[in-house]
Amino acid sequence: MNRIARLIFSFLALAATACAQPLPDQVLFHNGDSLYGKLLAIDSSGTLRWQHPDAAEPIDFKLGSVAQLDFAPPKTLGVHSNSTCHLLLAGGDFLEGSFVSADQSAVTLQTWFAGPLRVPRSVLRSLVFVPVSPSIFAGITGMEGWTQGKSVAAFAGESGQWTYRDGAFYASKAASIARDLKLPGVAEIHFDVAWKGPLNLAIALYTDSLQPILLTGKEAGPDFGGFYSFRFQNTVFIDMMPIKKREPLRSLGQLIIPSLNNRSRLHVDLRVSKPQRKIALFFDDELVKEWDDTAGFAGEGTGMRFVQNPGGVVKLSNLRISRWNGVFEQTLQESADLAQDIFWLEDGTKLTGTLESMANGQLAARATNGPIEIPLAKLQAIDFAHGTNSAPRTQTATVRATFAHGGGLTFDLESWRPDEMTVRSPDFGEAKINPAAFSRLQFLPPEKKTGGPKG
Amino acid sequence: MKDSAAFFLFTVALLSLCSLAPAEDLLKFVDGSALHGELQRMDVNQGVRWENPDAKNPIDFAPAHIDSIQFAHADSLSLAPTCHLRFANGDDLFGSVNSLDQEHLGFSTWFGGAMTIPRAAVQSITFLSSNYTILYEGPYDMQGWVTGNNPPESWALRDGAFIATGPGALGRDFKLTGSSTVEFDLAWNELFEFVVDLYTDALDHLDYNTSSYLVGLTASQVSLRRSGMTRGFVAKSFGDAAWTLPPGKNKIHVAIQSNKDEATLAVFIDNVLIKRWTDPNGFTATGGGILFVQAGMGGTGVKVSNIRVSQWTGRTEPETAAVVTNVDAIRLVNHDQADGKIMNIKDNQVSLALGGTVLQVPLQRVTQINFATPATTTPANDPWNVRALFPGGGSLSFQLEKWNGQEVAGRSAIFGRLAFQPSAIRELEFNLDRPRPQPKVVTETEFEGLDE
Repeated sequence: MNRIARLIFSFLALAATACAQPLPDQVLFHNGDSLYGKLLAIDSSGTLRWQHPDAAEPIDFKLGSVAQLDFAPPKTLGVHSNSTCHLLLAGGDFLEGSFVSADQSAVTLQTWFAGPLRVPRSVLRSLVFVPVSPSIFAGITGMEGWTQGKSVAAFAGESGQWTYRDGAFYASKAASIARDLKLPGVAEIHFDVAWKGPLNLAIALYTDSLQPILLTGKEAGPDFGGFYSFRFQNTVFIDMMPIKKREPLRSLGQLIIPSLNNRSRLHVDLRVSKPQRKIALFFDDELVKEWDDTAGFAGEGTGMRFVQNPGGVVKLSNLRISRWNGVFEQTLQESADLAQDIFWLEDGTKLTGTLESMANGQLAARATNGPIEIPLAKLQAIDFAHGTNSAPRTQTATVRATFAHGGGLTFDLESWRPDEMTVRSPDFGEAKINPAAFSRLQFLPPEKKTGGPKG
Repeated sequence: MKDSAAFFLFTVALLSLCSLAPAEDLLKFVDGSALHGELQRMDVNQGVRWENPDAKNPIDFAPAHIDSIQFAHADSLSLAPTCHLRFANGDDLFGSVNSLDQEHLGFSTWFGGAMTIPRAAVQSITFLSSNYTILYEGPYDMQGWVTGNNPPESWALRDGAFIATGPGALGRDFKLTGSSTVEFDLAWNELFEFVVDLYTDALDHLDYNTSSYLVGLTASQVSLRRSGMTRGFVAKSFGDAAWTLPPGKNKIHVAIQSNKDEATLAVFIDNVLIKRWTDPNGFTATGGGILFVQAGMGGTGVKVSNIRVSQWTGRTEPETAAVVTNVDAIRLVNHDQADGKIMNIKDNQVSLALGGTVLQVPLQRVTQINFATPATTTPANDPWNVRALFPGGGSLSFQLEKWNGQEVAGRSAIFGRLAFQPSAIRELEFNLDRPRPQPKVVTETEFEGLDE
């Protein structure tokens, strides 16, 4: 068995092992200790009960020593993901659910994890309507519909092909695979990448060519429409390059992330807005970079191409593409101190005023030159007025929870059971929450507890 | 997930240094998780009883997924061995060879006195340089160590390792007078820039006015400088040597051999010689201390563990690694090697059959004997098949029968029934049939002709 074959075998074996064993929960202590296992309960007396697979009995830990809990992904989370509205609160908290109503004092959401939640206006920072549309592409299911290409830069004997297995593509040699995925103009593209050896992966976005393009010889090769090349080189070098025929190569900004050398897998999320000429990159749900192509959006097609360059083994999985609301985090963060509410419409225009109500499919507001009404169907987002005089929170929170879909929420945790957790929020009071909503609970040390609004 | 979890835990451990509790034992699991506390007892019927200060009751763990137990305190062994034995099963011991014939090796150990063991179990015998003495093995505590330029986030001791999260110096006077071998494991979480100042008088800072040797280590090169005024310059550079860090690797084993008689200094990384420098002016360093300096920026972390400092005299350096061979072989002080069949060791001579003749080689001319690769036996798939690591070096695997506050008892395939003081063990590894993490070796392919 040659070296590459051994690498692939061990890689596949690793993947198979990971698939075969359900991921356990993990508890992390303030002193850096950790244990895998299963959370059984947290009670109001401050005891956390934990089942370790090798312990004869459940273990009772003092809750005060616990820094963080990470939960195994629930199997049924996907059915809850069709929320229509995201709320960003003071201090960075986040809620998603179905919009119910809004008035001058509060916004009400219907959530799958805690029922109706009424959030006071004083802590609201923004509201974003999420397009309800099915995924345009929802996972790799086989080779059908994909076009294998020949890697034109590969050394003789070193080119290969992507192979499919169990919902993932694998490549151990230079290989290209592409498909017209009908990318929308405002899109969210998710995928998981895992690798062994250096990660040398190039991904063409908004391409019209299903065959790889040799960048250094692109003028001599066949014609192609413009596209973006998002690439990893030697794992830590990341670049976004607009590629066009008869135009010199340029970069929108390179990143060097040395910590990727310590990683072997990554969840990648690309959020693209053709009208705004922007692409945002997230790694493991954390914003890494926003690229702004001031020369205009280069992509001229609707396809994607994954090209594994020589030097490593790579696995691609969980490729999901959907329409996106086009609201970049930076846009929301820019509105740090607002005297009036800002209403963002679908066509990119914005209006200012004071929100009075949102009901019966209409938003009513008062602007300086009179009342305005906006059909909710045309409303994309609201940045709520706030300033340094915003009412401070009356209590502090001891737990920061991370939603399985991203975003966080702070509260005091009263108790936790597998089917229900009881929390007290400084924003919306007491609530019973389905624990499956969260992927992580962080227990904040006293000096880091969240206080009043930051903005 | 496990890789990222391990990295996260390392980072958390660095960040939690400010609130360190008194030194505790550490129970590590094969999934990368770990729990501090104190081992109460072990036996094959009831498992491992562990007391954790954050748990309301002692915890009884089955051993099936335990990786190791690291003990906060271990009694240092006073060792002045003459040789180092490596066994085919991965064990190794310091001691003295008494005799050798076709079937047996006579060997004196610190724990059992003179013993006779099967020759087939032995992979190699390394004869240590004269007056070889282990000066230090640890760390177990801060005693004797000095920190300098040490803001709160810099050097601290945790779980048998020094961890630095910012620039700072950590030194100790080992009273080095002869040649020395300094060994340690170095791990890091981002980029690192690390300096080892050898034979220095300054224990809390780099002092360029006194004579010492500075070994610089980064992820891509090793360098050597000599401090002290020379022709108006405060330091003389002996040059750099490039080395390649395999992607994904963030831990190396470093060995630095300073040979005073030869005026040489050699740096090994993961048992591979990176560079041996010779000081044409002779070995001029005058101090007796060693200083570790984390020179990187704040936010980057390095971890130094398994430090061992040994001293020796003479022109011959101790061999740092054994050679796998399919015939018996002896290596000589002049670096020659002779292959053949080793007949015996008797009267301070080794008999080597070469073709039709038998050579008698005085033991003082031999640096290492490598035996034809013996048939290795896979450790039994039993979590109670453990390996004890001893302070000062050496390790021994055996079938654990019981552990209480007074005694560790078990049975070794090589040495038979064993019993130790628990305090003689610094670490105990479990589940020996599980492959241990090895340094990743990935062949780098030059990235040519970007293909999109």
